[in-house]
This record gives sequence, structure tokens and C-alpha cells, in this order.
Amino acid sequence: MSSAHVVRRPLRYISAVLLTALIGGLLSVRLVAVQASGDGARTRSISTLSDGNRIIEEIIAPPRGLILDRAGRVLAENIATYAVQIRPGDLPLTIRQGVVKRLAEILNIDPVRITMALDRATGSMWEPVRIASVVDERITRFIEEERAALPGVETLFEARRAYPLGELTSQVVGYVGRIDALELRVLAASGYNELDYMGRAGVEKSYEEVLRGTPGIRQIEIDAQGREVRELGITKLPVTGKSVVLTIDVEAQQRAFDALSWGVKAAGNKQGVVTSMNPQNGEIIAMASLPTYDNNLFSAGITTEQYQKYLDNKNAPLLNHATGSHFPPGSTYKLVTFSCALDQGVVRPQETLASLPYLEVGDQKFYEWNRAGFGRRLTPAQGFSYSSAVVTYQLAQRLKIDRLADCGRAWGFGRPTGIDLPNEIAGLVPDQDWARSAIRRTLYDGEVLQSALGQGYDLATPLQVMNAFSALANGGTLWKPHVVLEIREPDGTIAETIAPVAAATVEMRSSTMTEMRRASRMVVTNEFMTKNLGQLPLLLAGKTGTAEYGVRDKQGRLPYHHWITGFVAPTNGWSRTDAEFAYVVFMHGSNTVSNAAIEVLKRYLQLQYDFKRDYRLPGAMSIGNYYGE
Amino acid sequence: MSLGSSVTRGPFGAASWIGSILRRMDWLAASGMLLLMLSGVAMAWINARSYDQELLSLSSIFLRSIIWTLLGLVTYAFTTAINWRWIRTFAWPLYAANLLLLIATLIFGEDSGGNSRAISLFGIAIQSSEIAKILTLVAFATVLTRDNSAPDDLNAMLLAVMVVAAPSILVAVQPDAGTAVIILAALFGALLLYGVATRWVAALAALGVLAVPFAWAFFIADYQKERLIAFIDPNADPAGPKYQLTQALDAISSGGLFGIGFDGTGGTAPLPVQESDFVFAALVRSFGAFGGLLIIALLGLIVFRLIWHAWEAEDRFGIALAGGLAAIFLTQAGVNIGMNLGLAPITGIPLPFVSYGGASLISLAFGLGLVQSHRVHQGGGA
Repeated sequence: MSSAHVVRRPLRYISAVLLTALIGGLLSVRLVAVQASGDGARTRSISTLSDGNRIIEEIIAPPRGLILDRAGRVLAENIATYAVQIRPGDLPLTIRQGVVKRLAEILNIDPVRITMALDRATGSMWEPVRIASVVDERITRFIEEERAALPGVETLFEARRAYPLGELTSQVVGYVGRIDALELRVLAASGYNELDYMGRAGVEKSYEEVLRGTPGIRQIEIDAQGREVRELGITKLPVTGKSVVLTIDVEAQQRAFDALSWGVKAAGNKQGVVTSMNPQNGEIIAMASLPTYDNNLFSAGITTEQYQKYLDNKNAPLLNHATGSHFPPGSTYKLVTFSCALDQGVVRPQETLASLPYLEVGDQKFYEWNRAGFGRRLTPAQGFSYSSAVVTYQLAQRLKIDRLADCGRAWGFGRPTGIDLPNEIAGLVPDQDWARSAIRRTLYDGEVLQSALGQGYDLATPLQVMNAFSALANGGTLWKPHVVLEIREPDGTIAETIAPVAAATVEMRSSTMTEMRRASRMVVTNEFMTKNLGQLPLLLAGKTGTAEYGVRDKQGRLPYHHWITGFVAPTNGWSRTDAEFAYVVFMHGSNTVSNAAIEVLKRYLQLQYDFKRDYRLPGAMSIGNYYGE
Repeated sequence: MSLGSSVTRGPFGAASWIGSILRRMDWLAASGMLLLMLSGVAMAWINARSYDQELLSLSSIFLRSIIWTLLGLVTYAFTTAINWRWIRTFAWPLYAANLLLLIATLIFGEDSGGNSRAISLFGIAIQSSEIAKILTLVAFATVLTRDNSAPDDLNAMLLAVMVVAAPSILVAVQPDAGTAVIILAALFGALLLYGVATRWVAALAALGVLAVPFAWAFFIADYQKERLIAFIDPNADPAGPKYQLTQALDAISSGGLFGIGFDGTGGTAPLPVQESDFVFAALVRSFGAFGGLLIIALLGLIVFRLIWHAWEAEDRFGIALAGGLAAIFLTQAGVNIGMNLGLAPITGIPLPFVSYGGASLISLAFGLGLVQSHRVHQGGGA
């Protein structure tokens, strides 16, 4: 029988019984102790906490970090404002109408708005209903004086975001906005609450985590109706957000902004971009995009009408066109075509190509931009400086589309540059793979020629165009451009310096790079093309562009954008790679008799480099039928 | 005992006569279980009301609790009536099915409130880890008594540890570290009473202690660490688990000697998971210190009876089974009530029969039924 093998150790059974009794006893004693002493959370005495009362934890919003320009000027700060709210439970229904009427008089708003806000509130009757935000301190004093006649009306102090320079830097700095219910579901875990703000655009958005700080926690006791009984104390202090210092200096920004504002006014177009960067480290020097908007409106609680007006504006003032819009890059894209042809060896630098009035492909004629040709054979560099379409076509025919597209991507086109601003878009570099999936056919030969000119399906952001020429200037490094220089602790000490990050290197021979820098310099010195631009007291290099878009007018002409992009070469030579200033000017739908972007650039460089003479040409900005490149 | 001739041939062997079953049954343990089940139904009623549930709808935890309790009683009655030897022949298929269920839970399981994971079978969410506790116990009790030779301490232990390791790890990675601990406690309890040499029991205990840092690194999820830290340092994160405990202690201290009554839901906010993890606090709020002490006493009664049964058992399977089950009840009750009282870290371990949950209730009823069966069908060889 199995019982023969059973080993019984009485001591173990006794231990097991004792252990059970011990645990049971311990639990019983503790239960009675908790009962008797009312030793709950140890944070308060039990005597005042009736059955219905609960302790809830309220989040204390941390002060948001500042945004400063390179020289420490304030671009975004927190200012004290006041808000007015009503706690419905404290406002007897019988006198509600009178109180609402009086409060509406003081606030100078429609009483219906107050009534509607009260009726629409869904929370507990002890939960305050927001009536007005950003109220003048004077008005809050009126309300305090009439305290007795206005039961349930409360004023409270709030921090608001203010942008002292508003429109000048709003495209970069961005704005903050209230969190909506949907986002709150995701963000509640990170300590956001329904009254919180978060970055919605610009640096405010991309550096949200840095700027926000850490929320604090306050314990309050509420009764069964949700009414606050008393504060039990702060269990965690809020930590102020870190400050962000931009690479942009407000004075430099002002120059870009002024030049662009002048250009847009003179040309009568609505959209434009002027931006510059340091090719040595990817720092953005200035970034102006028009039209712009006043970010102060957002932090003050933008009205639906104002917001709708911004949204309805077809020139998209809320969008930073330097990073968030793409356009056909036009002849600026010839950097890709010519460097590609040279580097792949399909053309030699000394080789000359015919510059006829047109090139015939199949039964179609593809014309030179002046419809006449240049009357002689041109080297690639000369073709680049004349922006010759026919020379470009011949290079494109030798390269074919896929090799051309590979070179486009090598220069950073077709993907975001990785700048530390939100909502950057990728642009488009068409190739046969793209065509098969997007337009369900392969590209025609004519479309390949157009792509080599930066027309057709090609799309690029102004930032991508500048970043490509920045890489040309520095010998091939495609930086991730950045607008933030460093992050500072609330006390001003440096927490983090943003190091330059190379996104890629343009894999081309240095001889190709040098030849393209020489060609870019020739663009500026070629008076046939850029008139007096070469007279500026700077070793300027670059490439112009005219890009047709949209719908033909009655004469069969398309509207066009103007571009110029490039760099200021070191004074001792364009062949060197230590240039510290790259730029792009984009004029949307300018349709001027000569390249409007060149005129804007002249103004910008005059302000930036502080030279006396004004090189702008009178009449250049009049609307006309410009067929230049 | 003279009826033991055909014991392994059919389910109803030795004590097929119902009168014999009723006479031999441990009525003390059975009454303890019944009273705990009744308080579970009462708490489900209170909780369903405090959650504003329609009491008689199929989605109300009240009606569901009644159904689960009835199913639990049926399970208990059947297991008691059926000869445990016959059930034991299914130990291995059940163990294998259990492992498959645990693996399926890992793959298809849904998160049920952060504590452990459930798998949906025929529209019913099943907490597979609850079932695993009992089936693993039956399996290693079987392996310990695999033949009638004298117990070889080391071999028996190693085999039992191997049998326990697979489900423990599968449960721990769910992550349900609490249940893994219970399974290990069951093994420990079984080996202790079973009579394994003291040095091996001590070695197992030491191994358990050494496993803590390993478990911390690999099996304990962040939220569980948070709870442990909150338990050790109550000021670590006032918004997290500490808050739940504060709520529970408030509820307990508001209960008084006899509680705010059956209808004590008016105006009080529901506790966090008051139908399962914090059911004890809710119970004390409703039935006072008296109710709480009664629950502790009933659970203590069941554990004592199980230890007594192990002492009385005529074969080693009975000792291992009763010892392991005693450890399960003691650990679950101790950890759950302890956490309600701020004496143990917060884990998702249910209070036996009182917490709402079908898998836990049926598993424990099955376990107690099996011990009863062992008692009723005692004798006649193993």
C-alpha cells in the first residue's frame, strides 16, 4: 500500500498551521487597526472625510519654456492674463438672468453667449464654465468689486503664450493651441489635461517635449457632487520647461522679411519665400515665408471666423512655404541634370553641344527658352549659364530618366531634408517606377526632357533647393538644416547644443563639384542672363529658374514662378568649399518681365551685407510676358 | 474500504453510493466555500449597482456571478462524486491542454485591465492563468506519486520543478507575475507537507529568493515595478498605485464595525476594480470589520481543513494535492487582502470565491472538489 511510503513530518504541519494562523491574525489585526485609527492615506485626518468625499489629483501646468533668437531676444514668452468663469452651482437659477446680463455688460459681450456657454456645459454643476479668456485686469477688478451681486462668477489668473514679434517669426516659431478631446485621450498619459495647450506649429510643435516642462500634482478633496472642499497640498512641484534658442537672429530675419515684403508688394504676387543657411553647419540664418499670420491670435483663443479666414486664404498663410509647400523647381534643377551628366561621363567638360532653336523628338519640337538658340555651340558650363533648354535636353537624352532621378535623389530631392520644423514635405522626383504606380504608364520622352528642366512632374520645396546648393557650396554635405541652436535650462545654462547632422553626402567626384561651382558663378557673371547681378560686391554664385504652372491664359501662356538660389562664395574663390551663406528666393506666380526673385535677392543681399548701392533695376518688377530663364 | 476493487475502471468507483459520499464529505470546508461564494454574489450585486448596471441583463456582473457560482457548485459536486483516481488519469492531457491554452493566450490574448491576459473562447473571456494554477498542481502531484516506490527526494523534486517551470514561465511572460508566484507557492506547499528532505525545501526557498532579481529584469512589467516601488516607497508616485491604495484604505475605514450596509452604494465612488482586486475593501465598506473578519476566518478555515486533510491522507497524491491547494488559498488570500490593507504590493490576484471571475471560481471549486473526492474515495490503493 502506498501509505507505507508516506513520510509525515509533524513539525512541518505545525509550522503550516502556525503560518496560516499568523497570516490570518496579521490581516485581522491590520484590518481592525485601519478601522480604528482611520489611518487612510496618512495625508489628512479622517474625521472630515465623509463617505462621499474623494481625493482627486489635479495637474498643475508647468510654465512653458521660452523661445529666444540667436542673440537672446524673446520670441515666445508667457504673460499673465485673466479669465472669467462661472460655477453654475453657486449661481441660483432665480437670479441667473440678471447676473448674466450684468456680467455681459462688464465684459462687453452678448449675454446670449454666456447663457449658451452655461447651457452647453455638461459637467457637474460645480465644475466651472469658461466665459471669457484674456480679460483685461481692469475688468477683473470690476467683477471683484461687484462680487456680492455676481454669485458664482469667478476670475482667475492664467499664463498665456505671447509672441512679441508676431508675424515676423511666426512661420518658424509657430503657436500653441488647446488640446481637443480626441488628442487628450492619447496625451492624458503624459500628464496633459483638458485645459492644456500644446505646440501646434513651428518650433512650438517640434520642440514640444523640451518646452513643455513637467506638470505638478495637487491633491484636492471633493465631495460627492464634485465640489472642491479643500486643497490637501501639492504632492509634486511643476518643473518649468527648457528654453529653446534659435539659429536665427531677429535682425537677419528682418532683412529677409523686408526684402520679401518689398518684392511681393512690387510684383503684386501673394506668396514668396526668402531663406538662407550656413552651408558649413546647416544652421538656418533666416526664413521668411509670405503670406504670414499673427501667432498671438492663437494663444489668445482664436475666433472661428479668424481661423476660417486663414484657412480660406488660398495663399495658405498658416503654411511655411519654405518647408511645407512644393513647386516645380524649374531651371534650378539643372544642377541635377548637368552634374549628373558630367559625373556619369555622358558629357565632357570641354565638349560642346549644339544650341539650336529647338530639338525635335518624334514629331514634336522642344524649343529653346528664347525660341532662337544662342547661335553657337556651348560647353556644359556655358549651357548652364545660359540656362539653355536645348543643351539640357541633349544631356537628358543621354542620361535617361532613371539615372537623372537617381542624381536628383543624390542631391536630396524627393525626400524631406529633416529640418527640425514640423510638416515638412518630400517633393517629387519622377522615375519610371513612380510613373508605373502613380500614373499607370511609363514616362514619354518629352516628359523626360521636362523633368531635366525641373518642370513636368518635378516638385521641390524651397528648402530642398537651397539645401542642394548648400551642398554644392560645401563640397557635398547635405545637412539636416536646423533652426534650433541650443536648449537652455530655465536658469539660462546650456542644457544641450544642437550639433550639425549630415543627412547624406552627394556622391559625386570633386571635379564635378568644382565644375558646377564654376558654372554657378558663370550664371551670375553672364550679363545676358542676370544683367547687373554680377556687379554686386560679392562673389555670388547660383542658378535662376522660371517654372511654369497652372492653367494657360487666352494667349496660351502659362503663369510662372521665379527662383534664384545659390551661395556667396568666399572672397578668395568659388572653387573653395568654405562658403558660409547659401540662399533661395522663391516668388510664386510673379509673372514679371524679368526674374522677380533676382530683384528680391539683390535687396536682401544689400540689407544683409550692408552695401550702399541699390542694384535693383527699375521696371523689372512690372508684369509682363517674360520668356527668360 | 472494502469497495475499492474496481476503483480505476470507472468514474464512480469506491463511493458510488451517494450516502457514503455525503457521510464522508468534509462539511466544514464545503460550508466555508459556500459562504465565500455567497458573499461573492452579494458583492457582485453591490458592485453591479454601483457601476449602474442593469442587474438582470447578461452583461451585468451580478447575473454573471450567479451563473458562474452555479457552474462552480456543479463542478464541485461532480468532482467530489467522481473518483479522483479516474480524474488523475487525465492529468497529462489536461496539463498539455493547459500549456496550449497559455501559449494561445500569449498569441491571441487580450489585455484585461492591465493585470493579466484573457483569451476569448466561444465569446467568453477566460483568464487562462487561473486555470493553470490548479491543472499544474494536479500535474505535479501526479508526477510526485508516479509510482509506489519510496520517495526519492531529488528526482521527485527535479521532476516536479520541471513540470512547474513551463506553465510558470508562460504565465509570467503574460505578464502575470502574481500567478506565477502562486504556482511556485503551490509547489513549495506540496513539497513541504509531502515530506521532502528539509535541505531540498530550503534549496527551493533559496532558489526562489535568488530568482527575484532575475524576475525583476525579465518578467516583471513596468507597471508592476511601479506598484512594487509604490509599496516600498509610498511617496514615489502619488498619482499611480498609491492612489488606488489610498482609495481602498478610505473605503475600509469608512465601513465601521458593521459597514454602511447592503445598499451602501449611494454617493460613494466605485473603487478601482472593486469587483476583483479591491473587492475586499468594497466588502468592508459594505459589511464592516465584522464582514472582513468573517471572510478572513472562512478562508483560514479552508486552509486549516486542507492541511488537516493532508495529515489524514493515506497516500502521497492526497498530501501533495491538499498541501499545494492550501498554499494556493493561503497565498491568494494573504496577498489579496494584504494589498487591500496596504501590507502587500498591488497585484492582480483575486480573492478566492469573492472576487468576480469565472475561471478563478471554477478552478478553485474543481481543486476543492478533487480534495473532497480524495477524501470520499479514500482507500483501495492508489
